[in-house]
Parts: sequence; structure tokens; C-alpha cells
Amino acid sequence: MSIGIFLCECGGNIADVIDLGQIKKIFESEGFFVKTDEHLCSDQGYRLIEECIREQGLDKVVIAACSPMIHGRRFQDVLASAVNPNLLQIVNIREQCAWVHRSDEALYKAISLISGKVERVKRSLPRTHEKVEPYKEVAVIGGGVSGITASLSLAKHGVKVHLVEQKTTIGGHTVSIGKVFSPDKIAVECALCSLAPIMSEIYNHPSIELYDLSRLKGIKGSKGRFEVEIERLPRYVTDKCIGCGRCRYVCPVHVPDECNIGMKLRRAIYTPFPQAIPPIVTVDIDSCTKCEKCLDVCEIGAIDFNMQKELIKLKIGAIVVATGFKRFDTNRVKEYGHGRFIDVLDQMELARILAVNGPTEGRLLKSSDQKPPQRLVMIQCVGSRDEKIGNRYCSKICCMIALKHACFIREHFPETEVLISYTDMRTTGFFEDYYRNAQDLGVLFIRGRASEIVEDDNILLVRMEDTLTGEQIEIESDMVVLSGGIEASDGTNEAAEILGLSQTEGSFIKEENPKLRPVDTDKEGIYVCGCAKGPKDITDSVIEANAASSRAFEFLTDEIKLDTNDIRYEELIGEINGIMQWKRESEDVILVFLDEQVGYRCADNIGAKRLEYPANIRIIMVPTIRTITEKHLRYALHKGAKLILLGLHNSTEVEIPEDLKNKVLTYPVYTPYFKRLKEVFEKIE
Amino acid sequence: MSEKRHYLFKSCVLGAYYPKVEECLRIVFDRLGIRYFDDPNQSSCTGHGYHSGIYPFKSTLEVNRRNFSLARDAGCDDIVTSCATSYATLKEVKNFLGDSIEVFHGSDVIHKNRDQIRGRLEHSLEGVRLVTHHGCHYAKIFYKDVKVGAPEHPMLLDEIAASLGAEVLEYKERGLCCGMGFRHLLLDQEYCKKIAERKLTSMKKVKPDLILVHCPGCLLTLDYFQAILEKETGVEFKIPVMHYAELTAMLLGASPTEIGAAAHHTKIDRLIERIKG
Repeated sequence: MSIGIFLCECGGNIADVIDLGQIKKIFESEGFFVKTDEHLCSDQGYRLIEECIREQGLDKVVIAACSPMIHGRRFQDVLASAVNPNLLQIVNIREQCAWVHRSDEALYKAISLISGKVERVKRSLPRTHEKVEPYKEVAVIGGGVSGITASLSLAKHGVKVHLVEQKTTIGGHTVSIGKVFSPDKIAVECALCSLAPIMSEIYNHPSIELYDLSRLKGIKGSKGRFEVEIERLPRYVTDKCIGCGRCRYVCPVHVPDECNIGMKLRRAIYTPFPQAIPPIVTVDIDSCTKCEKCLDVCEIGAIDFNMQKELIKLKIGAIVVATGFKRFDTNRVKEYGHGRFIDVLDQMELARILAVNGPTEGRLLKSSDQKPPQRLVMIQCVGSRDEKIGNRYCSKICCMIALKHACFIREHFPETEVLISYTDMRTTGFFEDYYRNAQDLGVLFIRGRASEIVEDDNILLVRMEDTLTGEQIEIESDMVVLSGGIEASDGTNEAAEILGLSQTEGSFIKEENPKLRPVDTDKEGIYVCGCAKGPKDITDSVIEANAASSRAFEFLTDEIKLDTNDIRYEELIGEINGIMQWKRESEDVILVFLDEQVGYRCADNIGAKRLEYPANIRIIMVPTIRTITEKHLRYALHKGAKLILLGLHNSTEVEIPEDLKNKVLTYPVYTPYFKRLKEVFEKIE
Repeated sequence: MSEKRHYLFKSCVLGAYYPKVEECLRIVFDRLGIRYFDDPNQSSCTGHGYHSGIYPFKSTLEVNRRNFSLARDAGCDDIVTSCATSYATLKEVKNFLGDSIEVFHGSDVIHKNRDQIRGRLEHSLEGVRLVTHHGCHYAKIFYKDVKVGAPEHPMLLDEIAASLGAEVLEYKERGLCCGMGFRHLLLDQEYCKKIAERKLTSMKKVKPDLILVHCPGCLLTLDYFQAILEKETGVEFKIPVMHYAELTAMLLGASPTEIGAAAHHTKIDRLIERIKG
């Protein structure tokens, strides 16, 4: 048996910290073939390994490089003709070594980790991956413009789609906006006119099953063969409803209308807007008084107060997360007085005022006196690019929303003066035309962030520094509109938690690779699009939705290689033995077992952020924590491990023998919470 | 906040101008059974000099390193200051040193115990209309620690006042400085006066019975400047100004002598009579 060890410099990422020459010397003296290269992951790198395997007659290969999560599968696939995938093991000397330890410690740890994999492949047998057919169905979570687009695209590819929407209708934020800006010409378009036809297409498409009032509750299984659980709340109206609306006229209850963000009233039995899909009414059971007047007028008997919530189980191959965003609550910026001053609004409230189906039927009127404003000031970056609020990112669309509304007001209500106070105007690409058009229409721009809004004799004073002149100014106005930013929706947070997806700053869902795989999540078979991934406009959301559906389709049409969970007992013993062989006298080695899907990625994240932790932490990746048996634990302790830490997630339970309980610890891991894991690594001593 | 006794941090401005107000936080803590340590060895946080630009940071660091040691020797895990400047200065030093000791403002403790206080009130602020002014060194430096309201619109005193029964009024210049401005007070008192005038004029417009403040500096400025401004501009203010600890102590039963009402430049006697009935 001949084993080859390949060391990757990673262009300095590894070689600048770890003395690879030293490692080469050590393993060569033990009789192994060792080769170092600048970039093993390059095409030349693969060819180099392949040549060495053939020339040296290697049976087994150990590659010390970046995390196996990054190129591990690719190494195994590309080199499959030269070496059986199971006889090729990756040692993570970048994310879990060079990036997290000091030079001398990293060297020693690298040697012990390589030794671990060497001892493991010694005991490995050739193996082929089990291949399975995926379920040819997809769940799309969220029925906004992204979810709608992704669903239609998949359905047109012949895939059965389950569209899960938490509200009574699909359409998302887009339908409330009223008028949307258009990317290639200076125009505002009617959002509903673009969206209503495709919403109805969703409803009538034979391959799309729409679940309204539904939320994702749980997931089981693995990629290609997921079993998801969906909770569907009762509508109290059956499919028999023909949407005649008679029930609405007799309902005595009046409550704020969410679709008009509370600026209008609706009944307890209602459709949010006439083009809502499904086109049937809903009973808002929390405000319903059960007077049963609606029952009397419904001739077809579609109202049923006995409907119960349902739990629906679906077998699906892939998931598209399109859970959208939440508008930043501008009330949180207290100095602007939204909620305190009646004529301070946010852009969505202004959108409703300008919408023909809104509270003023499209006339620009102040809430305080129902008169048109003389001077309207828009304040940009409210809850975006704001350290005090904690959202450092740019919400991307607010500049365009402000320009859209400003242009519209100047064109239709020229008696109203419009000022925009901005941090930077971000009108990329052809949107620049919008910016020029706004200037031509007489919209005034002042650079600076408003410090506060105060009220004096019913006049709103916007106080700020004009940062171009350096002057402190007070702008008198009678209507102020706050351009609130975008935050991750509750649905996005929920989906990330249930599906175990990584999240970015601001809790948006993180893509696996921002450049090359922008709609893939870190879980195979789960894709993300639209504002669930970060702020973006409708155009970009639609592009991403199409990309996500295309990726999901690719995934379903291919055979799926399931991760074989049969890492052999001896293989794991080998790896433990290899690592412990290099334990120094004075060293307290702590063995950490992390599962491939969640825990190991979490540990990689610590490296990606270059956060340091003690080098006596040695991590072993296992398919699942259940792979580890009591014998493994006893063996590791017998070989001198001081402590063992098992990373658990998704309510995995392990049985630890009573006498090992003070030596074997457990810790719940979640991929995004890598800082906590790092702290655990630090404190475990 | 620690369950152990707090290290009570005294204020130099209160000690010099309103020595009885300094004692009010102790009166409140005594009535509530909150344990504290009143250390005669504590030295000034030097914040007044530091923020005026006449006392170097290094010295501030060393003086407060000593104060932290004293607190630790007394077995305290946290320091409670009656002054907003001490609060900010100690926090800055704590962060710089990476010290584990926690720093709270006296109003944080009162806010936390407001339900208990309400149960023990001997007098209520029912029918009293007041305006609040939060210390800039409390809200604007460690803005992330402002837990009630928002950094630019803190509501801590508003919630305390409301729980004491008062009606809290909004006013235009709520976010404006009291006028003290530390180094401005030393270099350009006219500027300070201008700011204080703007502040007081805006307050006067909503006709409050009382100005509730957060910081000894604000108390001093708003209290003393009223008479000066009246003389110079001929506009009458006469709005009583009270420190949060002083007001709470009084409502818990402390007498005007105990709270040192006589030290106020703008008289507060009538208001006290009205509250005490």
C-alpha cells in the first residue's frame, strides 16, 4: 500500500503560516510520497496529483488544503478515475488551522491532523456513492414576486410546485407599492397590472399547488428527498366561494386594512384587494364577532366556521426560499417622530396615498388637514447605513423609491415642492436618468443626514447640516417622508432556523458563494432568491428567482449522490489514533466531533473570520454525530484525549455512558453562531 | 445589575453645589433596601476636567483604575453613578482597560425598580406636568446602552416620571444640550447662555411645572442660568429644576431639608408644597 500526501500552499494562505517544508520532511522520513504545490485546486494541481498517482503508483491520497467543504467533493470527482473517492481524504489545514492559530502551533496541529487522515485512509476500502432519484417536486416558500416567478418557471419546466404563502393572498410587497420604477425608461408602471396576470397564472396552473395562510414548520430527510411539514391555518371559507363579496357588505366589523398599512378600514370577512389570489374571501377570525350575518347572505354556503388548521406533509426534492423582507420600522428612529407627528410618513405610506386604490384615491393630501402639502421633505437612509440602529448595510432601493415618488409628485402635483436629503444618491446604471429627470422636474437635493424633526406651530422643521456648505439648516415643511430601509423578514429568520441555513449581517440568508453560486445556500438542494437574500429591486428579484428555479431544476434532473453514512468503525478509530499519536507530553488535546452539514461548517466560519482559538482543539468531521460509538469515545480517552466535545444540532440526542459524562461534553451548534462555538473552544479548558 | 451591593459613585458638581441632592440617591436606596457602599476614599472621576480638555486621558485612566480597585476591594461588581459625566467617563475607562466592572447610572437603578417605588410613594406627581432632559454624556456617548427610547430620543426619565404619576410633555428642543458644554462654560459663556435660552424658551412654551434632569451639570446650568437670563432679557422663566434622585427621594417621603431644596437657585418650594399638599 502506498499513500501520497499533497500539501497545498493556497497561494500563501497556508504556506505563510505553516512551514510546509517541515511537514514534507517529517512525512517523507516516515516513507510517504509528499508533494507541495501552490494551488492544488487549479487544473494544473489536479493534473499534478493525477500524474503523481500514476507515476508513483499511489493507492491512496491525502490532500492537506482548505476545508473539504470547499473543494473536497471536486477533488474526489475529478480524480475518481485515478483513485477511489473514499481513498482520498482532505485535511483542513486552512480554515481550521492556518487561519486560526499562530505559526508554531499551527504547524504542530497540521502534522497531527494529516497523521489522522493518513491513519484513516490506511483503513479505508474503495466505495461507490449510493445514487438516488430525487423527488421531482419543489417547495417554494413565500409568494411575493420572487416566489411567484420561481414557481411559474419551475412549473413550466414540468416540475410540480408547492407554493407556501403565509398571508391570505400571494403578491407580497409588490402589490402594496402601487407604482413601481422601471429600469430602462423614466416611467412608473402599475405594479398590479404587471403582477395580476401572473398571479392568476399561478392559481390556474395545473402543476402549482398554492398553500395560503401557511408556514413551513419542519423538515426531515436530506437533499433530493426532503419531507417538509407545512401548517395551514383555516380560511373559514371553502373553495366554493365565487368572490361575489356580498358577505363583505353585511359584516359589521371595521378593522385597519393591512394592505393599506392601516390607512383604510376593511371588514372582518374580506379580500385584501380585488385581484387577490386565491380569489376568495377570508374570515379574520381574531376580529370576527361571530354574528353570522355573512352566513345568511352566502347563497352557496361557502363560509364554514368549523374549518381547522391542517398539518400538510410533502415529499419534495428541492426548496426555494423566497421569504422576502420586512420594512424597517421607522418608529424606531425616535428623533424623526414617525408616529408622534401625523404628517411624518414613510415611503410605503406615501405609496398608498399616491395609489388610486389607496386611502385618498391617489390625491396627495396631508393626514392632518386633508390639504395638499406645500413642501415635502424626504429623508433618506432611515434605518440603513446607520450604526446607531445597527443596520450598516445600504438598502439599495430607497434612493430609487424616493426619486420615483418625487418625480411623480412634481409631475402630477406641481404645486408641491419636493426636497430630498440624502447621504449619497445611489442610482446605478440607467437609473441615473431618473436622477437627472428629478433635477429637471425641480426636485431639490440636500446632502446631509437629518438630525431631528421638531414641530413648531404646526410646521415640521427638519434640522440637518448641509454637508456641502457646512451650514446648519432648518427646513420648514408640512409633510416629511422617511425612506425606511429593508430588514430580513420574520419568515426569512424562521426559514433559516428550520432549514439550518447560514445568515449574513442583518439576518438575510447567506449564499454559498456570492459570485459563482449566488442563489445556492450552504445546504445542497435549497436555493434562495429575492429579498430573503438581501435588499434588491423587483427586476433583480425576478432575475434571481429565475436563477434559483433553474438551479433547483438542474439539481432535480441530475442523479443525487447521497452522503453514505457508513464511515466505517475502523476508519474513525484510525483518524483518532493518527491525531493522538502526535500528542505532545504537555498538551491537553480536546477532540471535537462535528457533523458535516452544520457543525463543521460552523467551525469553518470561525476560520473564515480569522478568529483565533487554542490549537489543542482538534476537529474530526463525521457524517452525523450518531456515527460515533461508545467504543470510539473510550478509545479516544484511552489514547490520551483530555476531553471530547460533541456538536449537536436539530435536537439530535446522543447517549453518553454515565462514567464518561465528565469527559464527554455536548454543545448545540448552529452554522451562523460560530462566534459562540469559538468561545466554547476557548473556555473548554 | 449585580445582586451584590453597588459601589455608589459620588458627583463633584452635586457635592459642591447641591450637597443634599448628592445624598438623595442614598435616601432612595435606603428606602428600597438596595445595598450600596459609600466609600470615603473614592476620588472624583475627573470627567469634568477631562471633558473640558484640561485634564489628560492618561491621568483620568490612572485615577479611575484606582477607583475600580476600591470598588473591587469593597466586593462590588458594579458602580452606580449619580452623574451622567461620571457614567460616561468610567465607561470609557472601563472599555479602554477591558475591565470587567459594570457601570450604571443611578437612573437605570431607579427605572429598574420603578414598580417597587410606585408602591411606596408617599406623594404622587398626579397633575404635575413636566419636561425631561437627558444628559448628553448618558445618551450620546454610549448610545448602544440606551435601553429606553432611542439614543437621540431617550425615554428613561419619561418612563420614570410617568410611573411616578406625572404628565410628561414633549417640547421642540428636546434634543438640545442644556447649554453647559464643558469647555464652552470655561471659554465662551455667552454661547452657553444662548443655548440655555433656546432650551428654556422651548420648555416654557409648553408650560411645565417642573424640569426633570438627569445630570448634575444640567441641573446646575438650567437652575442657575434662569435668573441670569431673566436679568439680561427681561423674560421670566421661573421653572423649578430637579434631579431625578432628588425628586424620587422627595416622593418617597424625604423632607425639603433632607433633599436640600434651599440650595436651588430657582425656587422649588411652591412646587414641593403643591406636591406634598
